[in-house]
Amino acid sequence: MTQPRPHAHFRPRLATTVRLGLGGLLLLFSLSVWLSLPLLGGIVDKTNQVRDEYLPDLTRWRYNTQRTEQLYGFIQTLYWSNDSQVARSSRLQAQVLLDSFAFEPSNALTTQAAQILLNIQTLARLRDSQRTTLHEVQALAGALQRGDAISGDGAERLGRFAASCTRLGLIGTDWQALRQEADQLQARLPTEPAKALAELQTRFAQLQALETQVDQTYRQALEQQKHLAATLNTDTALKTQQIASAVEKEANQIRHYGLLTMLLLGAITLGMLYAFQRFLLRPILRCTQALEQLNSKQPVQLPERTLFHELDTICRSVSQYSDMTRQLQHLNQELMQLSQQDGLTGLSNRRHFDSVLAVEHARACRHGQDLALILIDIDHFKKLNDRYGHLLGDDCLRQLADVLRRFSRRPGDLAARYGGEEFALILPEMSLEQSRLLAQRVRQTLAELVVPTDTGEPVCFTASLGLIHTGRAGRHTPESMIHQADLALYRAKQLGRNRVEIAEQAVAPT
Amino acid sequence: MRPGPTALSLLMLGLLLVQGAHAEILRIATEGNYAPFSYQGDNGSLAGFDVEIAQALCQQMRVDCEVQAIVWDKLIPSLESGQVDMIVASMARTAEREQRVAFSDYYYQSHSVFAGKAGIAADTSPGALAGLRLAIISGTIQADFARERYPQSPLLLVAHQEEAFDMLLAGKADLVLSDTINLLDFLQQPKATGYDFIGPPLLGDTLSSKAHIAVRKNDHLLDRVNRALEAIRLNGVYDRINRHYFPFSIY
Repeated sequence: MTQPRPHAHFRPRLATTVRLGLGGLLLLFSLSVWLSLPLLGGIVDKTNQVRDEYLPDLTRWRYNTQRTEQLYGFIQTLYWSNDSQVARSSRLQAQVLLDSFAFEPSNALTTQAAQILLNIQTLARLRDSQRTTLHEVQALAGALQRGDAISGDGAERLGRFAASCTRLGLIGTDWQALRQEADQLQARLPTEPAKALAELQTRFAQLQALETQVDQTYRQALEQQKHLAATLNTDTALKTQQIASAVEKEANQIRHYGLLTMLLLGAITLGMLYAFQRFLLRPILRCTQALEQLNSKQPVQLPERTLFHELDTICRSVSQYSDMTRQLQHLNQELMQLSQQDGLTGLSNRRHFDSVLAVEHARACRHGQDLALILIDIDHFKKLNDRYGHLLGDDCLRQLADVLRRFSRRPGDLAARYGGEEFALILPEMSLEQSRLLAQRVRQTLAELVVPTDTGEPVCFTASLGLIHTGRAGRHTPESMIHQADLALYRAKQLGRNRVEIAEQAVAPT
Repeated sequence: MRPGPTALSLLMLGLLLVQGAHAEILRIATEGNYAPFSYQGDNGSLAGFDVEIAQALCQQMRVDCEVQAIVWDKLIPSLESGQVDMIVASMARTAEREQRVAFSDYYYQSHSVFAGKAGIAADTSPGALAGLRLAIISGTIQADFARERYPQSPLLLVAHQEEAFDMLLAGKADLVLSDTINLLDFLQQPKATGYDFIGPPLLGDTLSSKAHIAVRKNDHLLDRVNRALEAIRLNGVYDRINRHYFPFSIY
């Protein structure tokens, strides 16, 4: 059996929601971890990939650059060395070094290396043939030096020339100058040595021609070496740039993911804060407000319906409680009125009259103000009852009460039913004259009243009034005032009824 | 002043002795007849690039080691039988060898090339080398390559590289196919005057240009070797050894 609910709205339980929320958060956290782990792993993998892809390249470029610098040394050695073994060794090393470029994936590098190798080999070959020719020169010169056939004035000079030729080196020899010197010698020599000298001349010419080629090849090789070094340096720079951009890409990706995660977390936090404020805090505050309003006179503003079952129960309880409290307050008021009212006439009853008189008397004493009390008693009421019945008597009482009500309109005035057919008026701050006049008018109004019976017969009645007025209330107690007024009333009865008698004028004139 | 290979070996030996508290002794095999990677030094002890790299690795791994020379064909069997723990002998990685041993990261790279009397062949096409006798160490990638690529050239398989060079100098062989650095070492000797590299470096799928260290399969030693290799490359030891043997970097 389910309890009929006033609203068919969706009302989850707070406890369940909190559990579900925590579970959801845990799930979200696990999900984000589950999602981000492969993501981070992927980033790590990519970074490794970048490293594996680019670092070996960089290392290779570095070594290639080093090798190219060493190539310069080999070319220099080939060019400058007199020693054929040293030159050969350099050429072989350069070849091994350049061959390693054949495995480079870059075609441009391979081609350049092959060209340099070609030039180096040419350079080595040229130097080798120079060396061979030089050996021939040295052999010829040796023969010339040893030859006895030479005589004459040029003999000594030729001998010196031949001796110098045997000591010739490959590097730093001016072949042109040698040729000129040989020319000068030749002109002065006889045929035989001149022929030998001519052979030397030919060799010098060959050596000079070779030297030109060597220089050319050497310059070419150096030029190409420079070019290769420049290519490698450019490529290394390019490679570094590529690595930098690849790393930057990865870093950017990481930044994006980080930003996204932070935004997501921020959004979730904001959402939770809003939900907390909207669905938890506000209903609770409303309930508290409503409870506080119960004590004030302001109308109670009931908390609205809320999402959560528990909070809704609390709100509804508050609402019910406030309803109940209001009913109680209302009832209380009614009860209070009832306790102060006379059931028949609706005027204040004796008890209320007593307390009001006490209060007014005290106030008059405190402020030295006037206070008047009038007692009213219907004349021959018993006869009226006997003759027309109690119902008419009650009518008369009600009519009289209406009249008294009309004459006690000022705030503070009170009309009360003092006893059976005896009534009272409390009139604070009213002068003796005014109160006397008022009493007279009451009396007169009552005398003019016509109360119809059931059969329509008009009935009239009169009343006697006893008034006491005091300018200095301190001389009286409430009881003595009542007593004095009662005495005055009694006197009015004695003196013929339907009249107003004033106390103290007769009793205690001062 | 530059310390010779022997002085370096002694220095390392000294360092090894200082750290002698380690009980572990690693037995390392090299070829021993493959200058300048491994050869008999002046005082009869082993020297060469491979030998010094092996010693540097041992020092880096803080273990004692014994380097011994084993003929090429017996290298892998002796590793398999447990006679040695590690091979540092300029070994290339092939699918066939990988079934028997595990290879480390490479520790140098080089290439293969022919050497012979200068001008013996215009190029290295199979046609141009037809009929020329090729001296190659048996069981090497070069031997496999030559068998496949030069079927018209008689193959003279030898046990040691020195044997191949002797045959070439004696005119019993026309060409030697080997690693370029090994050939460079030979060609730079005075006795090799008149001999030269023949043709460009050989490009072939089966001719791997990288040398690796071999250990037994599933041996934890492999990781340590790789780490030590990286360490000596980073701390300059490798470069020092490289400079000592070669005028340029061979990594």
